[in-house]
Amino acid sequence: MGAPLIHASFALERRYAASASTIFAAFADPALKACWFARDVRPEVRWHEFRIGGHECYRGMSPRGEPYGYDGTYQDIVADRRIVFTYGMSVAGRCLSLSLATVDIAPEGPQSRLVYAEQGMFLDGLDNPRCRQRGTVELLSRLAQVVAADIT
Amino acid sequence: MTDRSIAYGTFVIEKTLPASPRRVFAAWADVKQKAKWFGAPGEDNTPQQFDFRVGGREFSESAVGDTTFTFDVHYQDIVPDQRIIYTYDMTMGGARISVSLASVELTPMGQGTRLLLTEHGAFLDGLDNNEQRKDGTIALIGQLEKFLEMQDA
Repeated sequence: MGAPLIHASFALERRYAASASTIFAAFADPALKACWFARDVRPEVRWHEFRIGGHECYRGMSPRGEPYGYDGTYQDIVADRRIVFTYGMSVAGRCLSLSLATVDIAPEGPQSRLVYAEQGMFLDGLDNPRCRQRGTVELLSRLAQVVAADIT
Repeated sequence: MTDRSIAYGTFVIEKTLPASPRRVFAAWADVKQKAKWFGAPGEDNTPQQFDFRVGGREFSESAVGDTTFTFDVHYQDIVPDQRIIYTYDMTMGGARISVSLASVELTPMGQGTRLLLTEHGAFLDGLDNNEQRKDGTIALIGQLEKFLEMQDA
């Protein structure tokens, strides 16, 4: 009998010195997204199909030499405004977690406000919500570098 | 222009059901059984597509009056007789109203089963909300209980 699921959620709010369309493009454009997302894990397979129903997949080897996978599906997209997606992560063929994530972008004067929210389930004690939140904080600060570079 | 919004919500339903985990699991996994309790009472709720396996899809389209509703499910994790995890989205009249991540966990409880359903939702543009979804799901689990009781009779 597997361990019970751990359910957790978090929301992060950030302000960027960039337009909503610049921030949206950093999620939507595969080349721009590769500048800040899944960069250190050096995936051997990268697939990014940014449309409703489209898939986003990464496959590679973890530093410990285990194959990992990220499998996401875009559920709702409103240009320059909103992205809703679900994704699962696995290591060595075992599902670690499943998540529902939303990116909400709104213009705020010359800046933009981004709210990233995630609700997740962690399976069989293989991952934990604290690590996920920490990883996402790191991603959003890399995103800041990408969008800031874009407006200069 | 539509006023865009996202409302987040989570609900948990816990219920002891009068059947073994194997039978409760089958009521979700077998489309003929699921169609008898998952949906509007007294109607044929057979989905247009039903592929119960990890990576498989379930899809239903139905009309209430002039409005078309869709229910589009992707099964994410399945452990027979123990666990089902799926994501789904719903549309109403072509507008997406919600995206959800749900789990159903089954554990033996005496002669029966303890069902724990947890659902995380993103409700879009004010078109639906967590309370309404919770009430609808409580009604469905009530129908599941009746279905299992009738199987016994």
